[in-house]
Amino acid sequence: MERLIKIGAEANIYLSLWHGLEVIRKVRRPKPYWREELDLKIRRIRTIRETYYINLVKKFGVLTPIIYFSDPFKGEIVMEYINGERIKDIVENDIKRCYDLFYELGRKLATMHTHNIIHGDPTTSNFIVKEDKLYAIDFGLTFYSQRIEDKAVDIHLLKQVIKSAHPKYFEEIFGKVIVGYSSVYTLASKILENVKEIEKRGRYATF
Amino acid sequence: MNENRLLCLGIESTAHTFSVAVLTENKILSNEKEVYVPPPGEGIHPYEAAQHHLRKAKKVLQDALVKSRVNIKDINVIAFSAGPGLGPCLRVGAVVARTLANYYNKPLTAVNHAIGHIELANFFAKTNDPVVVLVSGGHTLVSTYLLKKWRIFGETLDITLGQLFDQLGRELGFNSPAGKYIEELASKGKKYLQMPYSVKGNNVSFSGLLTYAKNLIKKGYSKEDVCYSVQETAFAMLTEVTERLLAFSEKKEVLLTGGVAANLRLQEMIKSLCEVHNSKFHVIPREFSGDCGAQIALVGLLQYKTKNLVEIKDSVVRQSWRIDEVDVTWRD
Repeated sequence: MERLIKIGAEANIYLSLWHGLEVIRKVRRPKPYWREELDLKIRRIRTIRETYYINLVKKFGVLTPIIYFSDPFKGEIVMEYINGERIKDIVENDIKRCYDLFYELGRKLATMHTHNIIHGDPTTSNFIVKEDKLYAIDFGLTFYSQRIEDKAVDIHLLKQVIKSAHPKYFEEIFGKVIVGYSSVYTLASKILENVKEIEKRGRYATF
Repeated sequence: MNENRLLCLGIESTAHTFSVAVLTENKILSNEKEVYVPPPGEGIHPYEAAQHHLRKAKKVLQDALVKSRVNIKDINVIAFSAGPGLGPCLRVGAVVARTLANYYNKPLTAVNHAIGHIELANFFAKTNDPVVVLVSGGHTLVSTYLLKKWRIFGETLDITLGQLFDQLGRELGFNSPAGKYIEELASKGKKYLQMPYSVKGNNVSFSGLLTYAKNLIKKGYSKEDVCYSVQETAFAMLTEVTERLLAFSEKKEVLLTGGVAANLRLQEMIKSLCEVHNSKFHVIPREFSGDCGAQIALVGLLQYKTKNLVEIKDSVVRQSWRIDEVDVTWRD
């Protein structure tokens, strides 16, 4: 018995049973718009990366699901089911509760960046809250880099998403992210400067 | 004839197209245009384009009115493309619009050209709440609507898809817009050449791809294979970003619009993605994908109905004007 609970941008997410445990089975789909050789390669690489980084960041205190099984050739990962709420949904329902969560999100992102790990897709749907603890998920685009630019792109992506998906609360919650981020990472101000540079590259930007 | 219908005359002149359209809320009565074509191998020269628009303005305006069978006295509002675009070109459209508004004593409204691409696509597709993919010479972005604004989730951080094709076309000796020539060459390409693939977060970047492709052409690789590979790579990047927004926003429709939306391969790729996500795919009809007066007139009419007008003395043009700065007064 297995149930499809979400069609993600690149994977199907199933709620499944694995040796009697309730688990998530994440299966990367072939992309119909990628050429086949490219598609196989990318799916394999992203499955390996995700497995590796989900395990690695635990060592730095970033909570992630436990990986039970990973098969790069099938593009498939079996992992712990975090039965919580996505931050994305909490923002719309209970903004007060969010302030601490976004502060914590900033801290988690900074922790990863301190160790030169770039999440690659830090949107509000990739952080889950369970029993007041914040879990990070979806590490398929994660990579290692010491470059300021790569870290700034991570922050810029989160900023863009908050601004576009939660415009009413943008100032407050992105402010919290920055405070949390700066409390952990000594290079924070340098990276935020670079975020502004990236924004200027947008078409018709005048600021 | 229905006496109560509202009529808008819209003038487009952001880049190489000078176009005038007359329309009502549910019918496009005329949509006449003249396109400035630079010499082969060259890009658009803003001053030359503006001179072209000045020469053609009277004829295009007359044709549009004659074809629509509307007397200019019955027009309710004059709309013009106030930006974003090339300054000299924008000013021609603005001068024509101000003159008409002043002489015939009509209200004037300033339209954002990109919003025009979106609303015109929606005029045909009648979408509810789509993910918009806007691809043209001036824009490459993915957006959704929320609280009076089109919100930009991802965009190009350097050149647009249209510019990528135009500049590659220039290298091959075509004149701009070169999209249709590239598409034709690409359809004959057989071999996929590895190309730089650059997606940063939800944003894309095409300048590395352009340089790489130009170098391959200089080295003597087959034009067909290069065009094919550029198309495959650039569209895959855009489609990936679209897919990420579709998954994140959990919307059920995709609306593809702008000049590059006419490309059949791009349509095919975005469509394949919609099938995976059980979403509906919509694309602007080919003849309205490029710049035209209808996109300006349509938004002009929507703005008129919501009293979003501008005084002649304030009717300045804006070369830089992002869609997320525009107050969408006619949507909830």
